[in-house]
Amino acid sequence: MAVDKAMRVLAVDDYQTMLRIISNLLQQLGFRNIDTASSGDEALNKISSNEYGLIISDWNMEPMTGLQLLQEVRSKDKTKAIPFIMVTAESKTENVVAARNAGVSNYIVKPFNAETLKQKISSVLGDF
Amino acid sequence: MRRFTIESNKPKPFKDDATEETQNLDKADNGAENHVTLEKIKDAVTHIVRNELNAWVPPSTDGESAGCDGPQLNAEDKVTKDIFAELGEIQSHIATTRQEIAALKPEEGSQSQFCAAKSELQEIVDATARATNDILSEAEKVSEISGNLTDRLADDQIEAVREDIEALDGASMQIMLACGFQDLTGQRINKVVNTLIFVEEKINRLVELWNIADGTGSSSLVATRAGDERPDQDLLNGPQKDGEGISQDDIDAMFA
Repeated sequence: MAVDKAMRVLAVDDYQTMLRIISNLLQQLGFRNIDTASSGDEALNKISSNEYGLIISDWNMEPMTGLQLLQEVRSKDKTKAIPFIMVTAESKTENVVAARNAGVSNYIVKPFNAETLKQKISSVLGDF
Repeated sequence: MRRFTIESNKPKPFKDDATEETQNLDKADNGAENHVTLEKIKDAVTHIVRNELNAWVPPSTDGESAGCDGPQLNAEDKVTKDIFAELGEIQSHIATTRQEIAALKPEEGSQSQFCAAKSELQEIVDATARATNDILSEAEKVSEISGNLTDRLADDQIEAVREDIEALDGASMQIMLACGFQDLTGQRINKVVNTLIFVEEKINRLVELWNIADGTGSSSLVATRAGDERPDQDLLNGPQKDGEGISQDDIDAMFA
């Protein structure tokens, strides 16, 4: 199934440079409706009022971490099926296990490149 | 009269009868040369005060006021009580200070947190250097492409895109200039490293002065701040060094 590039995508990271990079990469991959959030709370506000086809989030944020955001998203009927990709510097096995147990769709470790992002989005949404 | 030497300070001599006590303590050290620790000073003072107090006879409790829980303290009793309380507090402070300093010394066989911190800072310098080189390479490619376009296009075609070509050249130059940040951050990081080395030396000196043999300090850097209440904060370790975290390929295998 081909990816619907008109879908709304939410990128979450407390580091503005990374948000800019991910937004630019998503645009280059053809996505046009890209929202950003700098915190878990801001992300939840946007998720409650918009319909997203994909969430891409950092893990190490304060006060709410990306893992907590994932758990919140998975705890609600309306949002539990949204594909959620963690993009993070946390690269220990226990991190990946914890994220999988919380229901993450895929996991990208920083630093990453455009091809990796494309592959992981394809793995959860379908081919480009 | 025996004297103690504490590094650069020479204390005043004790009274003669106290001197005998300290002589006895010194002999117990097999006449060790006059290099005393704070521990020995504390022991000596405690010993002297205890002997003084043991020799003191408390006043008679006849004629106490009715309704009191115990004998009324006179001025001397109060001083005694105060002295013991102060000694107790001093002892507690000494023990706490020793514990805190021991926590700065790494456990046997492990590196200090300062070593780990310096290593992380070096990683920053190395990573920014690699990234800067990558950026410069790409900026140089843009500049080269712009040059190639100029060479290959006919004059009238160049005129049509001259503004864009000049903008490309300008942008690639700005990118290269911006990469100069790496030099400045490297210098700032060097200052931080030098400061860490300075602080580490002072702490090592404290450890030596307090004669702390066994450290209890961790060799790991502190990944999260004290008071971090995030429930998954024990999973927040930040970027790992090359070869220490798992790779994207390993992660992909977990999702296969």
